[in-house]
Amino acid sequence: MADHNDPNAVNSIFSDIDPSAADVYDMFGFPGPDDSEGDRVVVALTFASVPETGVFDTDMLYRLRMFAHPRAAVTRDEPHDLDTLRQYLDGVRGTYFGAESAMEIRVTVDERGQATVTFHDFPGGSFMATVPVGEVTTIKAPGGLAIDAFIGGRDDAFFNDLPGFFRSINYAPQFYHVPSTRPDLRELPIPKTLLELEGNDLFNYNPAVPDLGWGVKLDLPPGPYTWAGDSFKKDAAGNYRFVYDGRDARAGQNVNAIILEMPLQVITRRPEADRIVDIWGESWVRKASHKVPAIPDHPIWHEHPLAFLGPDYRDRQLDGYKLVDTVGQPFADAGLSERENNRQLGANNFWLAPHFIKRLAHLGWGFGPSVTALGLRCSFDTDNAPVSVHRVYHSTIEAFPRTRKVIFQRLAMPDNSWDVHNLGIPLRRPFEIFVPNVCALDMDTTGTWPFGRRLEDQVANRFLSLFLDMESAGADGSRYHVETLSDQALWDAAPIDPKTSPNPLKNDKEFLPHFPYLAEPW
Amino acid sequence: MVTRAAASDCADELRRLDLTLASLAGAGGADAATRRAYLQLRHARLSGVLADLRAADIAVGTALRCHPAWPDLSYLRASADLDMHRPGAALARLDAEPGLGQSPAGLELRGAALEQLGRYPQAQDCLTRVLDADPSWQAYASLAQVRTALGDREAADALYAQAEDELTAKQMSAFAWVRAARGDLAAASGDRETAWAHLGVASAAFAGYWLVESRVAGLLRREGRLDEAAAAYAAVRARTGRPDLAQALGEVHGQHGDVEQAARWQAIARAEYADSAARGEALYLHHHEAR
Repeated sequence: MADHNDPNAVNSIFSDIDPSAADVYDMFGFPGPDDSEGDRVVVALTFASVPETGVFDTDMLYRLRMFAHPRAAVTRDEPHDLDTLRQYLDGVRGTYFGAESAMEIRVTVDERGQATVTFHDFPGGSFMATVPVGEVTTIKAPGGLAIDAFIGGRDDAFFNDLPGFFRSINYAPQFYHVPSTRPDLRELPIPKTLLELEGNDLFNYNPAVPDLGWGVKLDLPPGPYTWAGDSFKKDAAGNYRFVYDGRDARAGQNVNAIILEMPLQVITRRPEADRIVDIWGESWVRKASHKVPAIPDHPIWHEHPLAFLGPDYRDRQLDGYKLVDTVGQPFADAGLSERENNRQLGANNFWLAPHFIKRLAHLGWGFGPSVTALGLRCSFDTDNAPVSVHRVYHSTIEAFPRTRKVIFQRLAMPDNSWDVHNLGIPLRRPFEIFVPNVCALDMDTTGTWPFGRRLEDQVANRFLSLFLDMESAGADGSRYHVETLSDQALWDAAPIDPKTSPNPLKNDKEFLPHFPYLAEPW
Repeated sequence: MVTRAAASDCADELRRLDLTLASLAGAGGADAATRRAYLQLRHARLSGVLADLRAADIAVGTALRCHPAWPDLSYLRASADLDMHRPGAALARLDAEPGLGQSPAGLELRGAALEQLGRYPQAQDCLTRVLDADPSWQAYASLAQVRTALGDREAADALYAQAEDELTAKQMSAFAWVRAARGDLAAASGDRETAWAHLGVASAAFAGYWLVESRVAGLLRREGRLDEAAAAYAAVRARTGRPDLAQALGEVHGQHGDVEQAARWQAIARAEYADSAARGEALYLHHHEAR
C-alpha cells in the first residue's frame, strides 16, 4: 500500500466506492541493467487494474513527470572548487524547482486498445507514438534513441502486509464497515502500535474471525473507540503479539502499468552531470463535460499530429481532466498525508512539511514505545514511555523536538553495494526523501530505496526503519540500517509472536531480469 | 401503467443498479442495509417512477428502524425526506445528529432543506460554508438553485457551470441533471437557443433520463410545438407515472384545443394528487391544495 487506496475519493476500502483506475499504486525508478551504450532509466507507474487487467479505462489520462539535475550533494572525492559548488547549486535548484519545468509523458488508451504516448518538453523535442496495449514495443525518440515501452497488465510488484499496517494505525475501514458520513471514525483515536495493546479488542487478532481485515469486514461496533489500557498484550510465554503477520496482501493480484526504459540521454543533454532523475506519477480522470459525444470520429491528430504537441493543446487537453491521485515516494500519501484528497500535490508538497512533522510525532508516540519494548533503539524521543501513546499535535514547534532524529538521521544502508561507483554518495535523510514528493533516482546507485525504488525493495520495512536509531551503536558496536527490520535473526531473538518480518521479503512472483521487469499477470 | 425505458444510458444504469441490489440480497448488517436503501433511492431518482420513490422512502425508513444508530442511514433519511418534500423532517433529523448535521454532507442537506422552505438567506449561508470546507458539485448546484429562487439567473448559471466542472466522466447522470437545470434557467430567461443547446448536451451525456426528457417536453411546449410536446410528455408520463406530468399533458392538450384529452389528463392528475395527499405525502400537496 505504498499508495494503494488513496486519496479517499478512490479509496475502495469504503464499500460505497468501487475500485478505480485513478488509484495509482506505486512509482518505481531504477537504472536499467544494461549500460553498455550509456545509462538507461527504468520507470514504472502501476495502478488499479480497472476495468480489468490489461484493459484500460478510456476516461483516464496518466502522467509521468520527470526532471534530471545534478546531485544536491558533494561526494567524498569531489574537489572543493568552483565547478563542484556550481554543480551543487544546480542540484539544489533542480531538487526544489525542477518540478516547475519537468518533462512529461502522457498516456491515454482508446477503445481499440491503442495507447497514445506523448512526450513533452524533452531535450530532443516533443514527440508521440501510438502503441498497442499489452505488448513490448519500441518508441523512437528524436535522434533515433530507442525507448522500450509496455502499457498493459502485470502482477502487482508491491508485496506488503496491508492489514498489518492498518492494524498498526487502527484504521477501521480495513476491518469494519464505517459510516461514510463519519470520517472521524477512520483512524480511531487508539495509540498507533507495532505490538498489540492489551484490551484493544477492535484491532487485536481475533481467532474467532481470523480473516478480519483480509476480505472480511464487520459493521463497526458501538464505541468507545478509544483505548484505556496501560500495557502491551503478552501471551502466556511473555511474548508480545505482532500486529503484522508478514503475509502478502497483494499476492495473486494484478495491476495495470506503464513501464518505460529509456536512455538517460533522452531525458537530459548532460547525462554525465545530471545524475538525479526526479520522477512522479499522476492520474487524471476526464471531466463529464468533455465526455459528451462532441468529439469527431477521426480525431484531428491523424491529420495534424503536431498540433497535439504544442503547449496550447496540452493545456487544453488537461483542462478536460481532473487530477485525482499522485505518487512519488511510497508512504508519503498513505502514511504521512493520511490519504486526504486535497493533499494530492505531487512533487510540490512543500506546504505539507509542517503536517509531516506533526504526523511523524503522532506516529512516533505510537511506534516508538513498540520499538523500545522489543529492546531496539528508537530514533523518536518517547520519554521512555512504557507503552504506545495516542497523542495528536497541533503545533509543529511542539512536535519537532520529538522527531528531530527521525527527520535528520541519515538512513544507513546495510552495505555499500548501492553506491555502484563507490563515489561516497551521502546517505539520504527523511526530510530529503519526502519533500519534494518524488522518486529521486540516483543514476550512480543501484536505485534501491531511498536512492530510487527497485521492484525488490521491501519499502514498508524500510519506512518503519525511520523509527530505529541509526546514529548510535549497540553494545556490540552494531548499527541499524534500512534493512534491519527485514533481518529474520532480529525477530528470532525478539520476545514476539509471530516471529516474522513485518512484511513479506519477496514478491509472490519472480521479477523478470529483462524489460518489462514486472512479472506476467495472474 | 408504467412502461419500461428503451435501451439508453439511463436504462443501462438502472440495470446495473438492479444487479448490484440483487447481489446484496442476502447481506446483513447496517452497512448492507444502507447500501440497499441508497441503491433503491438512486434507482428511483434515475427512473423517475413515483412508485419506486415511495418504495425507496419506505426502505430507508425500514432500514433506519433496524439500525437506528447508523449515521449513514440518518443521512439517507434526511435525503429521502427532501425527495418527498419534507424539509422540516430533514432539518429535524439533522438537528438530532450534530455530528452528521455539521459535516459537509449534512450541511449540504441542510442548505437544500432551507431552500425548499424558502429560507433563502440561511440556505445560502449554509451552502457557502459547505463550499468553503469541501467544494462539491451538489453544493454548487444547491447554491445555484437558491440563486435561481432569488432571481439571480446569471449567478445561478455560473454556479451550475462550477458544479459541472467538478463532475467527471463517471458521473454522467449528475452532469445531465446540471445541464437540464441550466436549460431550465435559459428557457426561463427566454433564451431558447441556449436552452436547446444545454438540453441537447444533457441528452447526449445521459440518454433516456426522464428528467431531461420532461424538460425537453417543456421547452417544446414553450415554443408552441404542441404535438411534439404532447408526445414527449406522454412518453415520460408513461414511464414514470408522475401526476405533474399528467397535468402538463392535460395543459398541452388544452392549449391544442383538445378539450376531451385535456379534461381526461387533468382528471387523472387531480385524482393522483388527491391520492398522494391521502397517503399523507407532502410531495404534491401544493398542487392538490391549489385545486
